Amino acid sequence: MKYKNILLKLDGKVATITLNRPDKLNAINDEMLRELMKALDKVKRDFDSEVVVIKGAGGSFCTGQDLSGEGTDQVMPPNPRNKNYLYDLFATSLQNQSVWQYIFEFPKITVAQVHGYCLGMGLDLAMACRAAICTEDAVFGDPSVRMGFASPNPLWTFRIGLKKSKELLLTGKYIDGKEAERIGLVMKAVPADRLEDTMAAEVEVFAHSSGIGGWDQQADFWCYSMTVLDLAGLSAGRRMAGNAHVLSAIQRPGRSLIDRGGLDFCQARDEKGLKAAIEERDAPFREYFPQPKPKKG
Amino acid sequence: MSTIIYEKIDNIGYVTLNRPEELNAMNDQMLAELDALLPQLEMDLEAKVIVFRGAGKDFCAGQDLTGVNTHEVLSEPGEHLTVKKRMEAERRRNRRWETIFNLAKPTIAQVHGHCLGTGCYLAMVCDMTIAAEDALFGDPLLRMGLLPHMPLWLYLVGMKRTKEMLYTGCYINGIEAEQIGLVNKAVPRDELDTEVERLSRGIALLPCDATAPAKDAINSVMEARGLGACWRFTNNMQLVMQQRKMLPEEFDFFKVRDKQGLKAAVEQRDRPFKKFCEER
Repeated sequence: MKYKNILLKLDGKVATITLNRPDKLNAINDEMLRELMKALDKVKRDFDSEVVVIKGAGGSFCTGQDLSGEGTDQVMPPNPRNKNYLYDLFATSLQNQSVWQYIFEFPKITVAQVHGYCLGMGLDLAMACRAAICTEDAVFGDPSVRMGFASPNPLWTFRIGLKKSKELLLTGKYIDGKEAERIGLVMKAVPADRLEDTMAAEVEVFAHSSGIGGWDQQADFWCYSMTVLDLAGLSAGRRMAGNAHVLSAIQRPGRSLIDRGGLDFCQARDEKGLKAAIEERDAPFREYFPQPKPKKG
Repeated sequence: MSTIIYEKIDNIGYVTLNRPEELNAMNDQMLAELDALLPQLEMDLEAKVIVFRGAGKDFCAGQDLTGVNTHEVLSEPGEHLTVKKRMEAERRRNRRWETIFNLAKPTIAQVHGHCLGTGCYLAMVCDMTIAAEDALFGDPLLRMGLLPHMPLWLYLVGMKRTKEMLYTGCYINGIEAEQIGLVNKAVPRDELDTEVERLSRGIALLPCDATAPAKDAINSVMEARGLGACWRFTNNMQLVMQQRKMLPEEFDFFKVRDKQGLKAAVEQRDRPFKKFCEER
């Protein structure tokens, strides 16, 4: 099978999936998400691979869901101006829940290799992996709230706790790799020129440890951990966050009494282009939340 | 004289606990004023972020333990009430926390000085907490034979830390509170106002139609993680705890208070623990 938006390499114990839309900073559109699922399926059936590395081609890991509005019916809620049927929204939400559950519960060890931007759905992807290793200057964040969306990702409070989750999701602010490591969002942050070496070393360890106790015991342990998380509320949380996301998507931002005339992201995008809309979205916040930038390498 | 001051500056609502002489301890009047204010906060579209803070030197030292006008704040031993009455009272107490936790707008606790017991609970139910580095956090309720009743302890700082905090009743400062996840950030005392202002003004730029569901998404995950059931469970445990009979040799906070005064009672309560807790 030929992939258009990703690259898949099977090499002994290590499979590598590269998000490959570098000119779009690897933004995830429907097709890329489908291909990612197909590639994971293939890795799952490949007897040799024990670790899957997920990384991004070009200057960034992934800037998140493709906001262009083209080929994004699944990854983005539709424009609220189109008066959508709730049924469609909820159906898409359910479909997405199973996609992210599949990635999170992938039976082989998934490791995200993060550099450059790792935002929105890109961060959801990194969080769904069992481990994430990043460069110190990588930039993390979920600016969904600035476009009026609630995050459908239930892993936040499990990964970094309630207070920090709210701080990041209710401001949409960005943090760098060092801070991400400090608050527990990633396993390790290293200088940019050490990323490849560190990954190679860590992946070696993962590949080795994935065999400890034999496959059956590994599978048993993983299955048990997933059960514990579900009992601790993850599965219900996934559903509830998904529903909250749908509810946030049926309303148009800037429509309440006090916020009239606020940013309507879809409108700004259609009138001025995507780049200008994103700038308009983020600019007012920089005064309050300094925005880190990845170094040009 | 009102015990809570509410003011609004540029889309930010400031709720100031105002009993500075009593370290902003919560008494019945304060809770009544808070209960009257909460629906107003919810309905006020112009207040996009709510900041909770304390007047004077402290955020809040917790329940007013004087026993005067504190009927709503805590049930004292020896009160003869029906189980139903007690249950109603406990429900009201917990619902107050739940209501603040679920306000459909972002809330920030700005903490300096003492932040103890129910004062600490107030900071915990706020979405974010910014603290002064030398602020003091703690929950010494067990030392008085009262039940710590905030399930968020477990979610915020984990099981081991929670048990350490509650069993010892020791206090920690703002820096440690940040390390264990009780607060978002600890800053030097003189930068506290600026830090909170930056955070609240930044959030106030967001449309309230965006922050409300974003907050609800996170809170509903907490609900799925069992928080809803926890409120009710702590409720019932509080009821059980109230039926407890003191042993004759046990330190009886309320008896000492009635005989020797509040100050002596607090002193006697904390003295035996001094050598186990680090000085802060």
